[in-house]
Amino acid sequence: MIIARSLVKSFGSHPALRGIDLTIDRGELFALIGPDGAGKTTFFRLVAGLIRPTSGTVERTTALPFGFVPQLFALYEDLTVDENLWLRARLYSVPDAEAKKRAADLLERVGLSRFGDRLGGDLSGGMKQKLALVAALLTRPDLLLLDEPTTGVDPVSRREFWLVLNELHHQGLTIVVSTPYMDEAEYATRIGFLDGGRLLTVGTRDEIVAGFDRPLIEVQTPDRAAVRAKLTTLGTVDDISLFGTRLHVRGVPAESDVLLSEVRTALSGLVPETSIRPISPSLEDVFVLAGEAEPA
Amino acid sequence: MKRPSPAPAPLPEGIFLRADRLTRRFGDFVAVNRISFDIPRGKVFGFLGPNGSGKSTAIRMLTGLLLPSEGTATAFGGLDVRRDAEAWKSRLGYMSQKFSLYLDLTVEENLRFFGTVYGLSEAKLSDRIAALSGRLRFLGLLGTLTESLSTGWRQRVALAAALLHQPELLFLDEPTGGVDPRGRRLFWDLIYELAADSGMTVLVTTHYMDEAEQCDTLAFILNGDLIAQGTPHGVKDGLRGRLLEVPLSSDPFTALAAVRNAPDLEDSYLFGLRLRALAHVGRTSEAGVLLSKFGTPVQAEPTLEDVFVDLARDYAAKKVTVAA
Repeated sequence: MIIARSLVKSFGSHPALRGIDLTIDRGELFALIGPDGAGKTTFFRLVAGLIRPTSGTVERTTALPFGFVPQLFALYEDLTVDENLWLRARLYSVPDAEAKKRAADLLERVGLSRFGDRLGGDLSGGMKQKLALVAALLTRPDLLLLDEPTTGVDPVSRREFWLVLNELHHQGLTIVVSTPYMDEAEYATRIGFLDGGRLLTVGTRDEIVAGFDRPLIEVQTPDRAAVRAKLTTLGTVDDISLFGTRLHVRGVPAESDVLLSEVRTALSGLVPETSIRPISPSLEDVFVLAGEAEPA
Repeated sequence: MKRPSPAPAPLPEGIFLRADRLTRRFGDFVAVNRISFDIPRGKVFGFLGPNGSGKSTAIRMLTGLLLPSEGTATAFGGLDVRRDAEAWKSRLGYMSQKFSLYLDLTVEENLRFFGTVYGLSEAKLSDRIAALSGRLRFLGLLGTLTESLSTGWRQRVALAAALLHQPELLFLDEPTGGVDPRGRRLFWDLIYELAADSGMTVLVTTHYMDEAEQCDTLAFILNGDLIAQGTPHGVKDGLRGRLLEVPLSSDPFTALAAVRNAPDLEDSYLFGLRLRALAHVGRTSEAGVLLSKFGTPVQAEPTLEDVFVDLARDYAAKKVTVAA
């Protein structure tokens, strides 16, 4: 559905994308994860054909117009929900009768049926995102691009939004969604990690996590400073990440139980053994390690 | 003549800030409804809530920018935010992800500007800039135009600006949203170090659940009500043991649709190629049987997002009951 080959895009002397090779197949629910400035929006603009590559190519094999939900949804605040949708349908030459039917059906599906008469300016952040999704689906696309659709949306609305995406995906829509949040990427069936214009890792969550070839131990403690000080002296410990009252202790390549027993010994008297356990890595653990291998 | 309000009772040892039935009304609308909590000294406290939850109004009161309608907060070893708003404001630091740095000034010019606003002397300011740029590792960037810095570096300069006057309480507003994982780790390492070394207390407001994981204690606010508080580990206890996960081989949505309205489940959702389901209290084994038609279910560690969704739905259900 989307094929990028050695895709490069520079703005002046600033390289936004530094050579992306990526194939996204029909029927995928793909998440492009990366921090601000990683090149996510540039990638979408290239796929959408809004800008041209500096070098390399990007192909989009969709027969139909595709749907695009940009980060900042252009919505007329002084038009109602229905009026916003009808206007958009006309711009894309969807016949009025058909547009009304589709709009009603889509609004029902995202739970906005009751709000057809509400002014765009009076919608909450979560409702605006749902309306943006409906607007993008009016043309019945087979590909949907969503650029950070849930940034600033509360957790309950985000979960509902993903339920709608899951259903659309089930019905055959190919979906590519970008996000700066690790936890959100886990909702997708395949994940690409973009950083500094480079694609560092691509795969399903399980594939990505399987690539993490280090032992990892979680220590639960309110006393992170003392625990950290103890553990930094161990030769088997390679890295310590702090997450509030949890520490993720990464070992040098070795057997997991070697690290576990060393950490338990080092922390005896300071942390109970039950608060020290081996864990499987989070995406964040994996990406931190992947990022270390890259030139800064 | 206005009589001075009585001095607040001293806080227990180890408590830096206490909010006591803090309330703010705008006309008939109650934006913040009698919220009470303690923030331990030298710890990172997270204040969580979606946009429109009353979180910003609470923060405006806690920073001394907005007078509470009722209730108050005490901190800084005996200041009352209603009575001593000016002193209160001068002793806290504030940093937002929407950094307020001037892009057309150099890093050092930005810091000098903010230091002057805080009323620091020239000599003191030079000392603080040297100390902070060393500690936050941007000594080599002092002469660089702020515009040319990456998000991660700007964030560190903004943090330095907030720390120039050595605040005892630091407010961080969604400090690491959109920052890369390495930059984010460095940032939190610094925050923990500052809290441990100088006893600085940190209050983080965010609606990003991964940022919330960085806190020692949390409070959740929704519709102006404080709906839960505790450690990240502790607030998950209510869900722990009830959240099950099963890997799916194909067509995840069909599996989800099949269990979506099952009476044993409080909630279900797709997590990539896995199905996650939260069993009702006491119904975990029934939920396990239900999921076993897709594979072998295992217990999953709840996320703070799971906690928040659960709390928000309980809260909504209670509101409906009260209204009926």
